Amino acid sequence: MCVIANLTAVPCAANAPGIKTTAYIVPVSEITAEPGWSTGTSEGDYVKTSGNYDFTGAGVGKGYFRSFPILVDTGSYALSGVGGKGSKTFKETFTFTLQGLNAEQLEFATRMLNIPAAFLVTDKVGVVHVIGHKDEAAFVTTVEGGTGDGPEGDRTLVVTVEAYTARPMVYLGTIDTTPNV
Amino acid sequence: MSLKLPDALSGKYRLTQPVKGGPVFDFPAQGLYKVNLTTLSESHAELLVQRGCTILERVVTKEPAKPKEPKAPASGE
Repeated sequence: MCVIANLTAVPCAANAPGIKTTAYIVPVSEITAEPGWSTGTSEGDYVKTSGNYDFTGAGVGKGYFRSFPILVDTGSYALSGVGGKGSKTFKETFTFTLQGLNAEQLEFATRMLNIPAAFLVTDKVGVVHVIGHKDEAAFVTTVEGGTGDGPEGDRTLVVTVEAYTARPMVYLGTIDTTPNV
Repeated sequence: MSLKLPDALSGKYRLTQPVKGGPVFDFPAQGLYKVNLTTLSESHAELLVQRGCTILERVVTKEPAKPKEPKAPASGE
């Protein structure tokens, strides 16, 4: 008889693909100070942050990360090296699907369409990736979607956001979701 | 102005760095959302620490040193 404990005696390393179903956006105009870089010397510290986002002075009702829901198992964060020899940087791409084509989704897509922004996306392992910075913001590159064409279609909006960075950033700070008062 | 943890957590948990804004925060990496740090419960504080949140830590209190037991006198035998 199979002993299940034997099968799991050597567990696989947790490396779940995909992203969590909540992401965050803030217009970079509301950012007073971005987190700094970790000064640690352990493996991985070079891309980790130290400190938190500061939204002091962003104005009443502003200065916070807006969270939004992503349709489960439809989003991704990806990066690729771009540029010529000696000038390479990373292009970061964040793709996500908004479920529905109601006024709420359409307004959200419309408002983010031309705003220089910073996004936070958490992968399923729990790493929070930063896309877009104060001086190198993320922009929406494509929005596609529609009503779907029948019972097996999708009534969704698929949004792609891109940003460039010389150094990917893993955020370890707080995610402030409270508007300034 | 930096946030302050509730008095009930005083001596048990502390912030590792000044935290501005809030008081409601999301901690998606730890799986906690809409967390009000000014009314944080002890169970949520413990969850955050256990799950690797770097802005919060347990306060480690040193146990008072035990008095040394007097050495038994040498028997001389």
